[in-house]
Amino acid sequence: MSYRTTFVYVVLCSVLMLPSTAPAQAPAKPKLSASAVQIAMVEAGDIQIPAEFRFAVYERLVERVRESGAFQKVYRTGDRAADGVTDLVTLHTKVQGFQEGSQTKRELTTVFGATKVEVAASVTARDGHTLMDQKITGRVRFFGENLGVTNDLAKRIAKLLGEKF
Amino acid sequence: MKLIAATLITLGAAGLLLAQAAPTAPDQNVRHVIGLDTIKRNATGTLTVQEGALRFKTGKAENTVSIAAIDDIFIGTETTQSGGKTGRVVKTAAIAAPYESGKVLTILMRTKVDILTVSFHDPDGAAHGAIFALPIGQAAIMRTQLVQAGAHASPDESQASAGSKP
Repeated sequence: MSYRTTFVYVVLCSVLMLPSTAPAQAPAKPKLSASAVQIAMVEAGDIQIPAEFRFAVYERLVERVRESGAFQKVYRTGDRAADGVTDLVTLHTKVQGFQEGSQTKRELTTVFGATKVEVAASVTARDGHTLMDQKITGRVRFFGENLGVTNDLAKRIAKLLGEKF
Repeated sequence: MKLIAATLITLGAAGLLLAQAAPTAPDQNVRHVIGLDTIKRNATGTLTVQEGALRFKTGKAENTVSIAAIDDIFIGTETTQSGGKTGRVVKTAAIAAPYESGKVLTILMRTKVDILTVSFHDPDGAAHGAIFALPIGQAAIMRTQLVQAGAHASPDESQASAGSKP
């Protein structure tokens, strides 16, 4: 067998074996489905966080999730209209870390003074089982007041919900 | 001569008393941060307690929250930039200034404000949180007015919201 024939044979074998050796592609996870979501009030737990931050996160979440269009209806916590919705899911956010920075420091140094809020965002179904659970961090690094961190956080959570639902 | 002096002193004292007794006009410089459905974010207007409701009025729109619907009131402070939208534009433009001299504006334009957070529910029971930025010292006055009008507020929550760093 000539070198040329051997070379062609080896290449041919390699090409034929490729599909079997290539890593199997993970099947895309099916999206979760729910027509409505209820946004629960932000829980502070043991973390010291000013009330305005908790309420601002809650309000921004309602706004952002509505804008995302991931759900047909978005209910606030306590809304009696949500009682009759069968496939309602609930978004819970629990604060796990809060670091209040300084707008002045941020704008003067661009390195120090960042404000950071870390939350555990979870979505539960009516029967209580958890559909999604993820840690998300919102930050304000340069421009803007400290409360701007709530917008960044809500934007990230709404994006995540858009990807999952 | 003595008569003129006595008259002037009397008039002066009366003017001072009248000035103290006159009701304070609502502050026009309250900023709506977030939370009222019919008011745009960062709109400025007046915040008053009238006829059993908390009213926020801008040049174009008005929103009322019934005192009975208020669940809690919190106050805090925040250091922010003065000058509103114009201030923001000026500061952004100042980035181009040589030797980062524009950063001086950051120091010059900072201002401390009170943050008033009002937690309330709508007729369907849905929870809302309206946040306002008021001139320093005004949030405690507003909270007192709301409590006197019958709003529910946790007694120790006024101090729970710590002030922000400058």
